[in-house]
Amino acid sequence: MRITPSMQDRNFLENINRTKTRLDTAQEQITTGKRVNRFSDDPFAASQSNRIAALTSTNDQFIANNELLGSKLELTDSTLQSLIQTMDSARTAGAQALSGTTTPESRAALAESVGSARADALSSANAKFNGLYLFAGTLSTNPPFVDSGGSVSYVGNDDPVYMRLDAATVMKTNLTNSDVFAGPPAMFDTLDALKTAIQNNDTAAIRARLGDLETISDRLNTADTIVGGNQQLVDQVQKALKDHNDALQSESARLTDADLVKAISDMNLANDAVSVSLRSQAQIQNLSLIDLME
Amino acid sequence: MNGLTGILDIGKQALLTQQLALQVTSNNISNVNTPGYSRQRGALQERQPVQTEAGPVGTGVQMTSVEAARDQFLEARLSSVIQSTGKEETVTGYLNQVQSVFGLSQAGVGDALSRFFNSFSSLANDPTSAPLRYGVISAGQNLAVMFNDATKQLSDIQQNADTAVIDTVNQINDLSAKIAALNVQINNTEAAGVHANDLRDQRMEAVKQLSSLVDIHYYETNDGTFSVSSAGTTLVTADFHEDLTLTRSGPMGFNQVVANGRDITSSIHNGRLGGLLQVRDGQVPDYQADLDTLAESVIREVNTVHQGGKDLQSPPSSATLNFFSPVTGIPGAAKAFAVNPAVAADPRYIAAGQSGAPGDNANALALADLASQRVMASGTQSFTDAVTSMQARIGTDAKSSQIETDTNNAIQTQLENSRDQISGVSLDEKAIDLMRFQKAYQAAAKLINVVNGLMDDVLNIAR
Repeated sequence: MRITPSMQDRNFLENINRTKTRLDTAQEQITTGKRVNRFSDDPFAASQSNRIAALTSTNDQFIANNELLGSKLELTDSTLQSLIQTMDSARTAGAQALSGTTTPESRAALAESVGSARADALSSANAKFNGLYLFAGTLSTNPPFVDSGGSVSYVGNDDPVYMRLDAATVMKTNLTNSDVFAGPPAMFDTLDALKTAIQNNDTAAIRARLGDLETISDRLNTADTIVGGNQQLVDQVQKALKDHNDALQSESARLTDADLVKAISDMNLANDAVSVSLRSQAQIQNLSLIDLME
Repeated sequence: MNGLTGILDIGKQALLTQQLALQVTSNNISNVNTPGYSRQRGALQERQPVQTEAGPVGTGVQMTSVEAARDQFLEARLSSVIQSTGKEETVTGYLNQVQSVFGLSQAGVGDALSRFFNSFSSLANDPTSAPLRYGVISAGQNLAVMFNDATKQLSDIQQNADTAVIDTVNQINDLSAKIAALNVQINNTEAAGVHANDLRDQRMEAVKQLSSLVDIHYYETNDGTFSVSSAGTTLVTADFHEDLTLTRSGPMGFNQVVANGRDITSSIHNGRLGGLLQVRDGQVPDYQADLDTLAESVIREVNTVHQGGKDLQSPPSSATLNFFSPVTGIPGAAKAFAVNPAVAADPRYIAAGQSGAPGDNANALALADLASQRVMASGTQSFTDAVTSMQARIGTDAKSSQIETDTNNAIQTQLENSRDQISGVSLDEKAIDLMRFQKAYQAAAKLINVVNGLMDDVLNIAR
């Protein structure tokens, strides 16, 4: 076989280029920490990685939404607790009014106490979260309960407000007038009637309203239980979303991250190969019969 | 010629012949690195013997011709591989540019789509929030920029390929002219009975260069000239060469290759020109079509859901505006992708609800849900699926092209080595030739010296 200098040079160049490509690839993997730096490195892994990035981004948004929703549910829960306490204080006043020792002055004070509870309840009913009224339905930019002429009217609506917790779960996130206040018995009408009954020392009416208040408290407790359940569900979904994102990140890393130990080993091997190739080529180039001729 | 004079003549011929052989060897050595050079060999032959009383006696040596060592079939195979290499290298280079358009970074169409639909999800938290509404507008505009940029970059890649078509066709014409001119010179030289080795080498080198530019077929005619054809059209025959011309046509006004008045663009498949045309007319338009299909689907689906909702105007608009400026069809959708200017100017036009109540977020949720719905490819793909499919397709094309390039390069190296085994200059071989012819030359000189002595002896007989 005839070996010409051109063949030697060509083979050397091809081999050194191939080795330097390996060196370059290993260096890129070490500096970026990624095995896949462009789609052609591994089209499947690259596209899967981008799909995972999109999923992670969506999950991140769900997590942010759920954190906000968690705060909203917490406020709803505390508002309901406050309303339950308010109803309890009204019931206490009503019960005191039924004792046989009341005087006109003490009844006036008890009636005033019920009036105060009504004001507290009205304040709670117009509670806001993030600038929106909690119990207004979708008409949430204005106070839903308006005290006009001594009676409270509802100007919100009963429309539900939903949120998507994750890809599979949608939750109704609001309680409306019908869930909490409207009854029957209606909360504000009951408080107004109790106040009047105490003022009039109408014990039968007081008893009837105390029964109504118990029903209202039961309703509030039921609503609060639903809110508590929703809070638990949000917490569970949050945990699942975070776990899912961790799993997605692991999968993305598995698909695209460089095996640094292997990359460093590859780089050292390629580096040695380049060094040896260059030295051997330098020696081979001097080997010719022409050099030995006198 | 007999006698001492005859011997002297043998010595003279031997000197001249070995000198010629040394010249051929020197020429080989000096061209050791010349691309396309085929090593030459002096054909040595006995001279015609003379009749003597003892019978025919030789009259020395002569060089009858100088021949080049070449394998035509190997050269043809090499030309074919060079055509494939030229094409794949070109395609690989351009597809690497395409890859960067849909890069792995967090700044592409896919990421912008996620951010856009997430912005509706965020708006659902508080549909009355002006900042969140501006956030939706901003995400929509960002998505529009991503579509606009991607389509412009694809268009730029096509334009660059088209410009390269012009340069390549000019080079093809130059090489065709060169081959035709060499055909003439070779024909003239060989008509005088001389091997036109150097001219043939130059012509073969020109053919190889032409092979890297376009798919060609060539053959040698009886008179030693090459006929070269491409895409069913003769480029060179004898001293004639047909120039390829360019004419702009089609919706993009790209250059079409014309030969003999016939558009041969679609018949060119190899060489750099074949690669450029494949990228310009095949692959990039396919990616562009995918991008336009995605853009049109996003515009259509978002607008449909958006128009099903109610905006925050007081009272809500009787006809809800489109969120994106509508497009008339798929082609050009990515380029025309834009947020409706009326919506961009007043985010209250965003229809986050379906009832007209300010706190209603039902439509924002429906718009956010679009991200995961399979609304593309006959209900089999979500928008994200479509983006990742497009990216996988580009990656696969680029990887295949790279593998083809590597394979062709390896085959080309192997074939060039095979060619060198036959046609290349081995310095070891030439060193031996040098020594061989030097010794022969020295021996011939010694022979003349001996004859000279004998002649002196003869002249001294009379003294």
